[in-house]
Amino acid sequence: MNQAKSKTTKQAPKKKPSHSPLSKCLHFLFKWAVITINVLFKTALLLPIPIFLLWYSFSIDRNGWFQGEQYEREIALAMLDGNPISNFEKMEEREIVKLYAQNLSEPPQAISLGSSRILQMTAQIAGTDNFFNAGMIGAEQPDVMSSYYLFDRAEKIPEIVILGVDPWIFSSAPEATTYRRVDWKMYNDFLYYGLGHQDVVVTTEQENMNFWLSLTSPSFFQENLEYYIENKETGMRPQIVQGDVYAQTNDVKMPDGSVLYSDSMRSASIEDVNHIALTAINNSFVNCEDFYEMDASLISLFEEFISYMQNKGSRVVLMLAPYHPIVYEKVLEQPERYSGFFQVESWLRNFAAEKGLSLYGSYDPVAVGCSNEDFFDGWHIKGSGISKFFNGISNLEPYTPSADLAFLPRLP
Amino acid sequence: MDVFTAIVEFFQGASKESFLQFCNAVPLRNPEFWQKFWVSLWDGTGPMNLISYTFWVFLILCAVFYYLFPKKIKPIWLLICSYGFYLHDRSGLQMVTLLIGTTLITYFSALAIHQLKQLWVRRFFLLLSICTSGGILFYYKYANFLTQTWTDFWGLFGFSFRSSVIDLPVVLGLSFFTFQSLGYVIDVYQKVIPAEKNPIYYALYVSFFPCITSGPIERANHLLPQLKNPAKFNYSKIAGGLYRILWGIFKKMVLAGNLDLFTREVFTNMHKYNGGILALSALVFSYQLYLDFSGYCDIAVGAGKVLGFDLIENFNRPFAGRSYTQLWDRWHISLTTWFRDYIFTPLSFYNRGLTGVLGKLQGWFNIFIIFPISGLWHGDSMGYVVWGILNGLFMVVGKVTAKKRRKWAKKNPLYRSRFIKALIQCSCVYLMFTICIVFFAASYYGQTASDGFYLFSHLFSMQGSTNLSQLVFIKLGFSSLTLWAILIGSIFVECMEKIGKPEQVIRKLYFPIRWVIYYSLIFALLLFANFGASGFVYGNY
Repeated sequence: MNQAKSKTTKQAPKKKPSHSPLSKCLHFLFKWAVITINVLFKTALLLPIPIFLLWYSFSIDRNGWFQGEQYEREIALAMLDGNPISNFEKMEEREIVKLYAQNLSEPPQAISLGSSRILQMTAQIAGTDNFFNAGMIGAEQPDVMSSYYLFDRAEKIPEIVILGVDPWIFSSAPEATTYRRVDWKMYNDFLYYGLGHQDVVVTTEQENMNFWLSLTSPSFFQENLEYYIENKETGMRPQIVQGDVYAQTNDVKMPDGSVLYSDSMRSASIEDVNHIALTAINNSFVNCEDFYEMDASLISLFEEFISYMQNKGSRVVLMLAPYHPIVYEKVLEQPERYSGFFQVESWLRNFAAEKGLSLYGSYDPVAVGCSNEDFFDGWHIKGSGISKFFNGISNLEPYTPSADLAFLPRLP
Repeated sequence: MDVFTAIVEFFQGASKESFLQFCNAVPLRNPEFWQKFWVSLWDGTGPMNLISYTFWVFLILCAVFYYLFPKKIKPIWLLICSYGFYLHDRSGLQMVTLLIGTTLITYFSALAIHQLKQLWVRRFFLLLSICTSGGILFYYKYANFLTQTWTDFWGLFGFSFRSSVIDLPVVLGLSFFTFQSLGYVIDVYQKVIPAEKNPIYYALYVSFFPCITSGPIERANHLLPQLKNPAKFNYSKIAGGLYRILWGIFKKMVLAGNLDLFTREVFTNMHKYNGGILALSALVFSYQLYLDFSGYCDIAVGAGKVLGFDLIENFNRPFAGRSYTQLWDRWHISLTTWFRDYIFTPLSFYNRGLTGVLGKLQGWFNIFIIFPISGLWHGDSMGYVVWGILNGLFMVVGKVTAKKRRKWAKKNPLYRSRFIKALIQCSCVYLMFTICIVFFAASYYGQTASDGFYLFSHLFSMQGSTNLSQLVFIKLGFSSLTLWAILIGSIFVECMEKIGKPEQVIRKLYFPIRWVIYYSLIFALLLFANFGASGFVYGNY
């Protein structure tokens, strides 16, 4: 053992073999070729995962963005026949409104426009059977305008438009202007043909790239997975509600376009709703974060839109759906953070008085006599809450600040 | 129906036509798609999230150019990337001023300390660094807390002051980069390392993006040499780093993310739940916090490895610690050692002359005081302070009773079995840690220290409107499969980490087994991750 050790210690150090520049170059190229092939091979091994992610979400398509308009047509026609619809989450709301307007036999007496915050406005509350609620979930400024234009284009101009004005439609903050679901073709058509904005490029076909971006989201994949599991039994198709409409476990789209929330949501206790509202506002004030100032261009667009509807012969009613008392209190505590939000209501009241519009409601629930029990969650008021400040279209009066002192909101 | 059946059914129903229809529809050739994709990556709202496509694309681009650039350009490129990472938040300009300010002051102070020989001058520059860096940290983190505490204190005696809340921005990684730069200046003062003359290297050391958000708090003698001698491209190390990132995301999103749903609900609505659920949520939070923070550190260490750096390991299976001291030797190691080296050791050195009871008391005080300071470091809330005080007390009591406990242990018949002994010791340590963490959790979930006391006072309460299964399956909407995923995932994590560092263990496995693990982790992420919980607990500090 020792001998062997001494032998090795006596050996002269090995000289490094000298390499020619060519062999060095070849060695370098070979090394990087091996690395590149290795990386490409491993990437190829991983590739099935993103492909599966996209393909699955594309095929299940819980929002109905990729699989055509057949669902929407079914819903629109069924609603026109006076049927309530369940399993409608997959629908493209803009498409429904378009198909509904196209297939109407005569213009509606009244419609309501806005986000999901106006979806509790029913024909009963509006006070007319000839009513359609064209509200859309998460509606932004372009959605609201496009909705009216759909009726205009179908030559079904409504006599009265109840416009649910959400504060964020005046916000240029990134959160309020994601415009994820906007039908840009429709909106550009409206700007060009409706408002006469000559600078707008009207395209023949424009895909909404935001839908495609959503496909890359793992949470969207999970939503599709849940949707598939929940709706497998029904074949994931919209269905006409059989039996008692109030006993449904899912949300129901009523024939007048309003949404009847599921039994569990309607029967939630006040404590649960308070908790939901508190959690929601602690998370964020939806679409109103970073809203410090009303955007001048959006104000101008809003004014143009109102004038456009008036010129078409529609009477415009501005409707301010209140927020849950907990939400409003929390927002009141942070006047600087939500300074833009607080400007909106005052501006709308001045605007309504100036233009002779009717205005009902307030973002402040206390101002219109609403309490915690009038809400489904932090953002959505119940129909019973709307009835506290709106008596239907038969009693419409222009807004006058002096007569409405009792309804002024608390401002910071 | 479960998620697996849903996926199997999807493949059963899938056809070549439907796949081709999908392939034809995907707008990969449409430039607008890619334009929107790039824009969506850099939305600038809030700090860059380590669990986002933005970060991954950012890291890949950073690494590709890093390896392509010559050695001299590499640190400049990394510095640009680090500041780019910091400036991802649109409101980051004010914050970056603080980062630059801290960097400049500590850089020049360290140079002065290194060059000048007079003791008082060296001390002056040390104090200058401590006061400015500490002052920034103090002002941005504690100004409102102290004002409020001061007002509340005098309010007890009938005095009333008007105190207004100062609208201060949350400075990304403030606690981390101030500690990192302060540690460097103290090291130079103590002549542990020479001052770094190249401002690029030093600025990069302070702002190095993998660890600026939530640590680990790097040491100059560990990171600076690596920055000066960048590692060459090493496929195995990069692959290990990427796996480590996946490992961290799994721990954070699948395990901690789902546990967070449970603990958040209970800690924000304590009055609704009985003592059993309250106790369970406290126990769960300890493990959740570990998974959350160690998951973040895995991502940071993994990102470092992708760039060829070895960052400090922040965790070493803390709950395998048999004593409270062992637990703290394995938990948030970079912060614990920072406190040990820059607070405990100097305090012990200056009090070395004390003997007898006074000396013992002083020694215990030195151990104790680190923890309330650590509590304050975590946040401006009384809950963190109480957490620190309790930890300090447990550590001191542990030290005081160590000898007697060892004696009793020898006589304990249960300790004859090594397994039972380990089980009892680890359980006791976990329990003690949980007692402290209740106050931490209360603060983290926006509650007060009194909510922590509320939990303890209601531990044996049978009142509560919701039972455990209602809470878990109905209110939180968990499926039993998700619970199994959490359980199996946790056991898997513990077993793998017991064997060694995840990236080293995985590289030793056979190719097919390795890829089965990759796929399993990714599918577990897709199926069970809570994607609503992408913020890290320690991102707040």
